[in-house]
Amino acid sequence: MSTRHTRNRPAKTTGGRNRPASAKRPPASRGRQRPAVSRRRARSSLQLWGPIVLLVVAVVAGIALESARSHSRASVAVPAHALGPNGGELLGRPSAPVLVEEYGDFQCPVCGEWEHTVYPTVRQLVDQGRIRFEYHPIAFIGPESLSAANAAEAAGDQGRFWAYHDLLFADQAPENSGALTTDRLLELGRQVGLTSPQFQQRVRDGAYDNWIRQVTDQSSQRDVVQTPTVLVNGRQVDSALTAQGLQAAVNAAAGSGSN
Amino acid sequence: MDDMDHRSHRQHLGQDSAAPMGMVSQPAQPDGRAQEWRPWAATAARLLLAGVWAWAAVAKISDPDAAVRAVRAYQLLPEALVRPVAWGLPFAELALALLLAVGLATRLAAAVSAVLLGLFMIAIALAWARGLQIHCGCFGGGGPATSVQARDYLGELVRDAGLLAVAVLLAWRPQSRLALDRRLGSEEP
Repeated sequence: MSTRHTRNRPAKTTGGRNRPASAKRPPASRGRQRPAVSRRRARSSLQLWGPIVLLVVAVVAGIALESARSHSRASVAVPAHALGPNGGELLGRPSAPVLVEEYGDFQCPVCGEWEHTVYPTVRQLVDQGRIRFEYHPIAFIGPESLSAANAAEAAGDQGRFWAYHDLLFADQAPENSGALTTDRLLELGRQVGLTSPQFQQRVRDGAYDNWIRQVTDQSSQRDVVQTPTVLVNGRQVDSALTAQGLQAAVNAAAGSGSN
Repeated sequence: MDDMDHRSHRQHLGQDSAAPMGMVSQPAQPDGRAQEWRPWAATAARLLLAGVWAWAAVAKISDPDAAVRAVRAYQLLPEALVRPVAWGLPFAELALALLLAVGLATRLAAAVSAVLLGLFMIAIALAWARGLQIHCGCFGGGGPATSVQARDYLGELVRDAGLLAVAVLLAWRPQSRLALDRRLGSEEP
């Protein structure tokens, strides 16, 4: 590689065609050519190793950079009202036999639809004392998912998580449309009776952003790859995207629990 | 509503560029001219791969948390390796894009590209074979909750196979125009 200089010759050559005599001779016999040869060797080894070093350094630097970024978010304020068995928002009696969990993103339209078609059944089952419902707010559609989830947790600090949750889903804008500004989130708070400086401060500061990020990461460790994802007693149930499907899954779980 | 929307919801590797292909093979010329078009085709191949890597890298670097979830969703790596891979891979892609764009160490960059593309294809094929549902039920259009669009595994494999072929050809014949390799005289015959 180091002594070949043929250009525009894609076919393999022996490298000796241009300089038939000197190419095969040992470097020592070339006299004054030697410095040029060693320079060329140094250069070509730089050209070989330089890019390899670049690739390795890029990977190591990238990991270091992202790891530092991740550490800067290490302080996580956990909302005190997140009391579900898996650290989510809990609705219903803790003694209810079946645990239904939902992973949702406040910007996800299918979650909004689930809210209309299945959530009434959830409330009914909760009221009957048959299930506990645990909601995990995750944020993966965009920055507005994060600020909406944070605002819902701030509302939860004042006991208004579910009212705020219902309002966010009832009044969804297209994803990442910029509709969920801080002002909009504060306005939604006013609609459920939240006007305290504490609520407003936590919405503005993103007080629970890191916790939402943590919940989002944990969701993928539980193999959640889409929203809404519904789990019944810890197992993902795809059929729970309809009211009948959820009802059946709850019946089955209750049945197997009492046997 | 379309591809961009899906991309933002799906949690996968982010190798999602529907890049145009087929730039390396031009109609064969008479012998004398064969050497004229080859280096230019190699340049086109370089720029194509550079564009794909740059796009893939920027998409992942702009949302590293999503990259972590995407790598994890393949269920191929132990948890301890998920973050290093998700964080390091996009920077390797960026470095490859840089090398290919300026035409430095083209053979090495093309060979590493081919290896990475091969690994991606294995990961995609395994996810497909195991029936993993690596996608999101959220569609911008707000379709019915139960209509979960299946991921286009075959399309992704075909795309990566095309890119792999380009990378292999480039590693085989890395001589190209507008390349630092040429300027530095490090080009191999």
